[in-house]
Amino acid sequence: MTYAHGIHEAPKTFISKYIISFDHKVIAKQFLWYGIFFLGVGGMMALLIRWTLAYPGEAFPILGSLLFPHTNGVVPPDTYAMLFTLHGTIMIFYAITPILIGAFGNFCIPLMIGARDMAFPMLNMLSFWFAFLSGLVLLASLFIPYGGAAGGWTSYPTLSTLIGSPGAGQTLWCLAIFILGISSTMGAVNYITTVISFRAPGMGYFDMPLTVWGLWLTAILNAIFLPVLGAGVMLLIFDRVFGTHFFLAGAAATSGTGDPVLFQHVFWIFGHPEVYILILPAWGVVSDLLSFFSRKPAFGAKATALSMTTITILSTVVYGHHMFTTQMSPLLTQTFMTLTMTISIPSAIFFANWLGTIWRGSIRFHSPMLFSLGIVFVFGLGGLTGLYLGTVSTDLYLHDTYFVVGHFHYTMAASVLLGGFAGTYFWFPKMFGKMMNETLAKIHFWGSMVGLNGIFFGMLLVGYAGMHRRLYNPFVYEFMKDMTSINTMITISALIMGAFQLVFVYNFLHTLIKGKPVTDNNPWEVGTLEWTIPSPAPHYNFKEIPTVKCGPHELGNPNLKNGRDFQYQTEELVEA
Amino acid sequence: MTTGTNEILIAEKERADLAMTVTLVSFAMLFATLFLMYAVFRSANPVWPPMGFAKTSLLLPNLSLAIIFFSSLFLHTTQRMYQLGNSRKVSYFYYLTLIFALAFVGIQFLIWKQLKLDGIYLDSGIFASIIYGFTWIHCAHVVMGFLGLLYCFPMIRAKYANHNFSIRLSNVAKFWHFLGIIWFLMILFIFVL
Amino acid sequence: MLKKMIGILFVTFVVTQSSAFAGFWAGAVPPEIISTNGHEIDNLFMYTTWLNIVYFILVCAGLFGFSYLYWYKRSPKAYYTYGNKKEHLVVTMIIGAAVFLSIDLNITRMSNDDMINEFWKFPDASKEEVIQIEVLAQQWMWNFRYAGVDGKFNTADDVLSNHDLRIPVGKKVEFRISSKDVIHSLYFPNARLKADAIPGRITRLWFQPTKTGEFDIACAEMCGTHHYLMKAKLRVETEEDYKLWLGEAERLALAGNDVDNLDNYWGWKWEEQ
Repeated sequence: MTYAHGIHEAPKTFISKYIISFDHKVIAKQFLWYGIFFLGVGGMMALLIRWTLAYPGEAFPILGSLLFPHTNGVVPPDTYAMLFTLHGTIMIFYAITPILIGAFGNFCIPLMIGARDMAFPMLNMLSFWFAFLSGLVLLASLFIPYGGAAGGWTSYPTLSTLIGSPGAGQTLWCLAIFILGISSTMGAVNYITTVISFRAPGMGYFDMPLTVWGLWLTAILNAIFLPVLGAGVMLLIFDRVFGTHFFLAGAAATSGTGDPVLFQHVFWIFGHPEVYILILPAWGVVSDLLSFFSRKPAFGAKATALSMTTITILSTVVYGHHMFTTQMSPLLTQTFMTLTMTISIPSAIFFANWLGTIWRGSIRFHSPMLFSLGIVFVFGLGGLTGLYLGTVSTDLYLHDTYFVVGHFHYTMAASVLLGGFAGTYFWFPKMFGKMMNETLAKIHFWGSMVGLNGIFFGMLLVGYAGMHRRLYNPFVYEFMKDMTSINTMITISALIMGAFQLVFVYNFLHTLIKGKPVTDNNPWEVGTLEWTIPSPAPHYNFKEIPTVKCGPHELGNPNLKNGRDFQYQTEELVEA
Repeated sequence: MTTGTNEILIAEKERADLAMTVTLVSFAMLFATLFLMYAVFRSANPVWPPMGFAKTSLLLPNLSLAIIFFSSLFLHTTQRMYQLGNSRKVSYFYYLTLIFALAFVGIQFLIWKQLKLDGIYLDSGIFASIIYGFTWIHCAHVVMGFLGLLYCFPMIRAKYANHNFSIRLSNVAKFWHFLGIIWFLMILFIFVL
Repeated sequence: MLKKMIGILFVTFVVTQSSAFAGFWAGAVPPEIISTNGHEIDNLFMYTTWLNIVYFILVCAGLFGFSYLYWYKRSPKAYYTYGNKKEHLVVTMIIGAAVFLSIDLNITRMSNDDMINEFWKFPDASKEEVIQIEVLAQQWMWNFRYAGVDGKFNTADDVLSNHDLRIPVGKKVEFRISSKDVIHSLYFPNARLKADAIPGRITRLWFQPTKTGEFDIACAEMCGTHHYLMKAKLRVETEEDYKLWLGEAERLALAGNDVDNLDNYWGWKWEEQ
């Protein structure tokens, strides 16, 4: 068989088992812990930001006086800038990326395609430790003179050069992102190779679960576009440390100097694919889970996979819509606007497919299903609000307002977060061999839905009313005086959202420590390959490499006679 | 494992080739970004080099290009000899490659020194930034490639003449040839054109 | 006990919040429009909103409707289909095409028309009277420059002003914008416009005010710690008031500008583009 590979013994010591592990499942859990830790840090930062926006000049309760003793607990303006910079950075690169891509990518890809491990376990291990190093560098930047980076997560020069940010914080930020880029590229090389060469015999590309499709496309985008960001931040480091002039402009209309706008181009050539890098795994997970819990095959699975591929390709040529206000040439502007709009065709197709999947199903509202349905709702809102920002004239008004913040939080934060939770509840038994509490999970879901819709819809409202981003105190402006109550509402929603995450943390830890091992290897009754083996998955996953005989969504087949309403991918498709 | 050891080896080689291709695409995107920036600066400035700089002498860049070309050639020969199992020639060409790689880095330092003598300092505008920044990045990759070459060191002993080393060598060689091509493009863009 | 406490909390919450509720939606209203073309942006916004509402209702109808109808207790047997029958494909295609044709193409066309007919159609100073103003952003201040008596920019008699922009009602005003240090963004909420101020580049913006009064000018692009304080006042005045102010300012500029202070020459030559 050509499928035997990378044989490594089951580890025996604590270090080889849990720290320097080559096992994709352990690395996935490492990424999960890492991501949840940073999710907590980033979430705390969000609360500090929200508090400042709703109650400017008031001390943050309880923690405030500990964190900011010299201002009696009030967040100072320079710290505020640091907070929103690091909130964005942490949530995108240190929370979503490790959870969705690091944890689920590592965990699901080999299990779902019937492989014993990743193609390069060593590279996989390095990928985590590089990410760890990067996280340390980022956290370290908070404790140096002048503090961490404070130029926004986009870190546009010249604010991010020495002109706008003295001290080493911004340099360490760049370094951290660069190291994380290396880590993610390593992961991407691994994922791409694994999916191409380790699919179980009989598994064609369209027999892969859509989760794997999403993760695979993500890996491709990562491998292609992370180096672009890498080049950008590297030159930014040169500008800061060695005194080159890549992004420093001279006086107007002098030639031979650098150009700050060029960084924006480079940043968004990477940055626009990045938003799809984050959302594609969530789309994949939703597409699978909707089918599993509706007990019927995914509607138009092939079309969904192809739509995701189309979006992946389109995502590389629309980045200019982030830069309309820098006044590119009209022709370029029109081109980017039109290309941006074409993204709605594949999006509409997989929305139709998602609804088609639950149409005439037999829906079981387990927590993963609730979260998946939640994603359809919030991603609908997020996608539709994108239209206002894709058209140039409305973007002139809405650019850099809270409308943008609301839009990308709906798409990137709300959808991806719900996707992460859906995946966590769904694969928890496979990861740890225990079931999380359903009631708590449902409380967590409804609380989160109320919280995040309150937050992000509120943001859309104040954004439409003209409130711009990254303001320490919005009420210094006349026209924002009326927005106090909405801002308060958003902050209360954020506190609600935060409080309900504690339910999740409790559920997660309690189940992990006190939960009873599952008796059923396949609690959700689905047929993809990871459920053909015991829970939690044993060291080598599959005793024998399975042979795939049917697709991943064989549910509700009326010809099934064995009392089950689903069949495993290893079984021959039952036909009448 | 009894059946088809050969098949496993072929599959391993295919996987390694695939992964290396993806890796090289990543590296290519990094350098493509740099060249894109160069193109933007170049088209934004009607006169190049800007700010009254003169073009630098091509002697050293051409020399370094020749050196990296020969090192690539030697590495290629090393690979061929390795496949033929000629261990004496393997070490001979391997050492030649290493020496030329070191020589390349040495010439790099000479180039930077020459630039300073020509009055092109780090902070003298975008022209200097591009020359220094791009050559630094390339040189950092050459150092990485050199470490990769050292990583192949054990293969000069016959007892390590196995399949794994052949994959290792072939991957390092690909990276090394890639750096040669990039260096050719850099010379072409930032020194010649 | 717990229930009682939750009840009390809930009541206080509702009471305090409902009193604020009247003012709640006031926070979701965009500022008053003071330009001839600002309503184009609001119109497109509303147009997109109505279409979005239609489609979002469809999504919700599917989402909630199917969730209700096909709950496993109501619908014990799922319909076994891959969704790849001809009629399924046709419906999916129709949905895709409908969204693209009805929303995307429409709003793209409208937005493009607005840009070409309004926002990119810069006034021609040779044909009509245009108030020309140069803007230099710096941390954390807006500098405005009027050409002064000689009508030429970057000369000793230019009228300079910080944080205070005065323009006459009913006249087209064109701004040329640059930045001294980091990227800023000149944002007129009342005119629904903004343009980035970028070091080394000149961006531009125009509008024609229709109402007199005092309005806010903001910096919309993160520019450092005191980004939030980087605001200026826009005073739209009647033509007489404006002329009066400008005359006085030009006189003061001639008399009081420090001719030797190089910092006052941050402007540039105004060229037709």
